Amino acid sequence: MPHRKRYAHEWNGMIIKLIVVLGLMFLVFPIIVVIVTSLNKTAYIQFPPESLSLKWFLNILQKQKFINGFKISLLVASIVTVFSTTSGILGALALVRYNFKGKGFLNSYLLSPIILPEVVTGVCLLTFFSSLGMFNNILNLIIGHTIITIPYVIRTVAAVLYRFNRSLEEAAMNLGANPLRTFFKITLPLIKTGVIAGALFAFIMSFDNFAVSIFLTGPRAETLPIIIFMHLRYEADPTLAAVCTLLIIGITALVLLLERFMSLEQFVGID
Amino acid sequence: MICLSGFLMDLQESKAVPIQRSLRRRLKKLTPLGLLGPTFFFIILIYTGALISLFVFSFYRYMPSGETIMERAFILDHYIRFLSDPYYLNILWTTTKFSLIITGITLLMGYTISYTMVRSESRSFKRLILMVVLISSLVAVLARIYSWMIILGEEGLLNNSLVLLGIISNARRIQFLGKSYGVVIGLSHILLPFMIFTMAGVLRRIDRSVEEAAQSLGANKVQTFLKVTLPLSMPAIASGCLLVYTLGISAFAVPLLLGGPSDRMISNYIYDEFLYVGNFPFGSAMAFILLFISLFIILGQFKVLQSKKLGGKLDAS
Repeated sequence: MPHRKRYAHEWNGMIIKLIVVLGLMFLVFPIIVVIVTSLNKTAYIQFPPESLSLKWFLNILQKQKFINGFKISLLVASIVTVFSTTSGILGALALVRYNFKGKGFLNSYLLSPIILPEVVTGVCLLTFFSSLGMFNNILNLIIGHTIITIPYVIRTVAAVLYRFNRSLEEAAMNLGANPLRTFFKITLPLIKTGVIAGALFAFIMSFDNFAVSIFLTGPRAETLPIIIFMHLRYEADPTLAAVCTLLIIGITALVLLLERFMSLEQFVGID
Repeated sequence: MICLSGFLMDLQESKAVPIQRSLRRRLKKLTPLGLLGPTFFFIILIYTGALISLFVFSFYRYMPSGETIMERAFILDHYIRFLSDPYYLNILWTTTKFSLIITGITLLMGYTISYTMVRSESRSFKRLILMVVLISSLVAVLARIYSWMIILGEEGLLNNSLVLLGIISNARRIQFLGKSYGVVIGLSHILLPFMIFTMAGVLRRIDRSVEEAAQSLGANKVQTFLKVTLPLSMPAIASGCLLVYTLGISAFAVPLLLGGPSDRMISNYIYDEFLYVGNFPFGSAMAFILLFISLFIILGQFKVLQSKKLGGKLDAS
């Protein structure tokens, strides 16, 4: 009897391992497929590829729209990161350090742009901007992305703020530092990890956004995801795979770089 | 992204540090307002303003021949139309159905991965799982959709492999794309990391010694899991499922690109209503129906997290 039980345990262990391995493969597989496709010499998809080449990467340079899309996305995401990081840090300070009426409600309300449907955000901003006569697409994209990325920064900065000891700041103040100096010399270095994580999230979420952007984009303000979307619908050739591979390399590099500043657990908020 | 439930909890549980006594108390009262200024500008002034104006539009009268498309009014016609026409109810059903299926799939895979990750003794194994899940979740959504098109297409990787292995004949390739499979696979792929991270945030708080106690009292692993671990995991499961379900019903890009005409979800119809049909009031009403459903679920999540706090005596942290 006892050994039959042990077999059952081993079976369970096997099944759990199998699900974990399959689940992780499910997550990674599409990424590998894109990379392999981008290295494929032929225009149709072959797996495994017969011969490798980098010609699709060179081909990106011929397709001005990808480069333009990249530039627009970079511009929008950079400005959005500055806006939402600044607003988010200040907002988190207010929410963590001060008590005021309606704080609980405000906490959840300021988070809502992440969870509420992106299409609703996109549609309401579209009608709002056009009823105000705001037709500068880049500006609209920046405002729209800032709205959906501020909550990430508030979340990561607030998480760090809760933890650290306030006495350091008080000591600095007692020693005669003014609030601004205290903030830059003491508070900011202490909440550095939260700020970096939040800013990175804001940048990536803005750079990658599609569902809000599609409502706010215009002929001269097409972000990279919008360009990829149009390309996908009408002419999906391996140049797209090369673009996606570059994005994958970029993200991987960012995550590896991030690990120098904080643990990944800290980054995703499960430490 | 990612551990949203953790965030909700942190903010809920925190009691602000009392303001230090100061002569300039009155000034201090205004400080939080000043600090929140930029956030208020974006989220209260613009976002809320936009939401309210959309809500107002949803009661307007549609005037296709008029100059402004809609006329100021207060009618409930658009909501009634949506909720009484089987065509639109069917859209709601498709949306719900996909979201439920995807929640189920990601729960099964996500719970196993999340639990293994949280409980793993090996740092490097933990780091590997975290790295894989994190990178795959940060890779551009459209890049991942594109990849699934390569894999699932009629001339795609999966069909080619099946033909090569002799499982299907060349003439009878399976249409994965433009069918529900595509939507289910693509959305599961995008939402699985959310499930994993959200659950990990709650699961890591389960005290391991409770499980060990059960085992030392003679329970086997299966019994321990069913009687101890699973009940303690309930808040994690609930918050993960609620988050994935909410994100699932608002899916837009995946049904658009990987699904067929009958797999389109409510977000796709909202987009069409605004960009092609031009019935803004009806589109606004649809948007608000979706918004209300999401809000309802989010409120559910709050309840779950609160009840977890009350019953969380076993909580180690």
